[in-house]
Amino acid sequence: MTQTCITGTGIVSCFGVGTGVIATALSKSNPKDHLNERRLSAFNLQDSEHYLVNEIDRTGLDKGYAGEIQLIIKVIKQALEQSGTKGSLTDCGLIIGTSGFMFAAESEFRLRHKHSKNEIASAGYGGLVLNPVINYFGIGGPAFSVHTACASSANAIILGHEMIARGEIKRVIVVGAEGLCAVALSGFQSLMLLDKKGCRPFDSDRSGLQIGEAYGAIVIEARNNHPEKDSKALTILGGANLCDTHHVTSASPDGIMMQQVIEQTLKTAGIKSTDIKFIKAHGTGSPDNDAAEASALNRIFGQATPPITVLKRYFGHTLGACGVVETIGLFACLQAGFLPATAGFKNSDPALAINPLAQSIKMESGYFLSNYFGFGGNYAALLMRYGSETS
Amino acid sequence: MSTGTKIFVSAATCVNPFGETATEHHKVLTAGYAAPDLKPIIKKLCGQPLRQASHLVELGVIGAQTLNQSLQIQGTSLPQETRLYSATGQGDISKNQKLFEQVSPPVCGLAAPFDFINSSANTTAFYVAKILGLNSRNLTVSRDEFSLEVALTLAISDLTNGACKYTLVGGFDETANAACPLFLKMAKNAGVIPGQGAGWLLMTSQEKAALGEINLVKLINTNSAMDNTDWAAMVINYLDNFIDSDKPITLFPGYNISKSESAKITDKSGNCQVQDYVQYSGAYFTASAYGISRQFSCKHKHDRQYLHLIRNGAGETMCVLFRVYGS
Repeated sequence: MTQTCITGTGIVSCFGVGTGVIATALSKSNPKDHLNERRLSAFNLQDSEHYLVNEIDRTGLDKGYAGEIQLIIKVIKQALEQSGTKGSLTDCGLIIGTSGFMFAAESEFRLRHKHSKNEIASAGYGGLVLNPVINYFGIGGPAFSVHTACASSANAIILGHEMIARGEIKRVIVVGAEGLCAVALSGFQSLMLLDKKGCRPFDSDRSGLQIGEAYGAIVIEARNNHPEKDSKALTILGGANLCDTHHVTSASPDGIMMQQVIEQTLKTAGIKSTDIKFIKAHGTGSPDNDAAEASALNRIFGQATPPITVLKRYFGHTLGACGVVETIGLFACLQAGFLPATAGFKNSDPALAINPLAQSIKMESGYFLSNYFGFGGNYAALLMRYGSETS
Repeated sequence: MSTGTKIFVSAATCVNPFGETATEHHKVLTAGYAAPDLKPIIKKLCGQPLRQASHLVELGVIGAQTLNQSLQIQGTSLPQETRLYSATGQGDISKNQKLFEQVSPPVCGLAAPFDFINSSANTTAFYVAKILGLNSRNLTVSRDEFSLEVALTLAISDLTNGACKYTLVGGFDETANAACPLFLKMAKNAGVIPGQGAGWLLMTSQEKAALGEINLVKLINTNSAMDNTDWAAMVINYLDNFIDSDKPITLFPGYNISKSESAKITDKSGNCQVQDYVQYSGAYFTASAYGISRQFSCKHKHDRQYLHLIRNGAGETMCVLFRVYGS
């Protein structure tokens, strides 16, 4: 299948606006000193002060739907500018990957409550966010949202890649959007899936997630549109998605479906496991999910498992946005010449036999695997290459 | 969002606002409609209740499982690698609203675990995949009035590009409640009753035993500033290349296509009649899933072309052109 290329990125994360601040923060030799996380204070929830979250700076933004739309427009503008896209977007698609637009609806709900308006916020699923963004940019191609829990924007990348590779559209903007909301925090809390000590991926003491918020956008185009950028380009070779029907909120303990989605991704991309130079694991820090992912990786890579990094402690688990957000975060680090350490990982878990990077390492180019596993058994994996094919 | 390739429909099921799948029992929806408890239907259909599943999940599962059982009756089964595309315009609105109330002031309590799980838009698709034994691609997509058409487009792209042999496409939404003021206002203005339901289509590129075919899924760039005459002219002009003008065609207007708009289309098209399915489904974002799958699941004496039209808030028009084979 035709390769595609990420030609522009835009992001608002807990580190601030853009990718420069991410590379600076994640390049520090001791990542723990540079985490931008704090105790939850935005919502009045039970025990909320005990949970670490990664928040963005919302200074100057409107509340409610309007603020969410502003953030999405902001990251798309950044991505378009970086990609050098000018003029009409009638030949451009837009796919927003998010676990749902609950965060936007909740923000509107709170706004109306604050103003004592005796109205209920519209729980319109996507149109109240999607349509203004389509209109603002004059998007003329396919435009829709994808909702597959924490694999949402990873699946959006796969769909965007396929549309271009199949010749259906010239370029696609893929957005990952997820704001902090009380419903999600409280939901994970009630499922006892939050770790009060923060996310500790693959660590022997791991006990759950750390929630974050971020908004990211990438522009995907056919790779041959920008050959001059190859040495610093992020190429998408392919991806796959599968459904694990073991349980709505937990993975098959043996990781067999995770293994299958990775194997299918390698097959789709035409790459052997031995060609993989590094892995960005999903690594939520939940005991079961990390165990299943470790089983899958061990079965595929055996003793020759390449370096593994996990980004969840840096950004928090940005849920449906993590596919785009972590792709952008990783891309920023690779452009700065390194693969970041796994913040939050300290003690090896002998049961997992997986040791993610404790220190960042130099990384100039190569094929890599990126995993995303969500509720509802929605699993996705992406195979990408940083740098040119020959480097 | 278009395709010229012939894609066949090999099975279809529709679910009316009462959870019924047998189309001969579907009655015209009347004012004062209230959504029924679907748990008895689920228990009968699946052999056991879906513990903690929401109303939206039940709507989706009723349709998908009925389609699955119809295949089993015919001595076939759904291949495990069938790709699943689910469309919902509003997601689980009743659970979302319940969750807001659980976690917001003055309660500020914990979210009920299963309300939280059900609020995720992909939960219905999970249950459908589990019950049908599917483990391939399983994506849930949304675009308000065009949600079903987005799912159809993605599924057709997979089939025409040989990515898979079968795709199962479904659309489902529950009845709009007070949390959907814009939708309720639209329904009131259009004179339609908010309904609910689902529709499922099993699609393939193989003609064998097909019920019919999907010929075109296309967004036409009309806008809300156009009057009915200009709108109809643009739609007819665009579709001229795709419609077999020698054969009769049935216009299948979506819930927000007015009678006068339908009349403009039939006036401009020589051999066209109108058929109203919204009287059975009521209005909801993915009602087109009900309408289209209803035609495929009914028996027809003769081949017939259908044109489904629906518009969005910006006045754009989405069309689905399909043909149902006579028996």
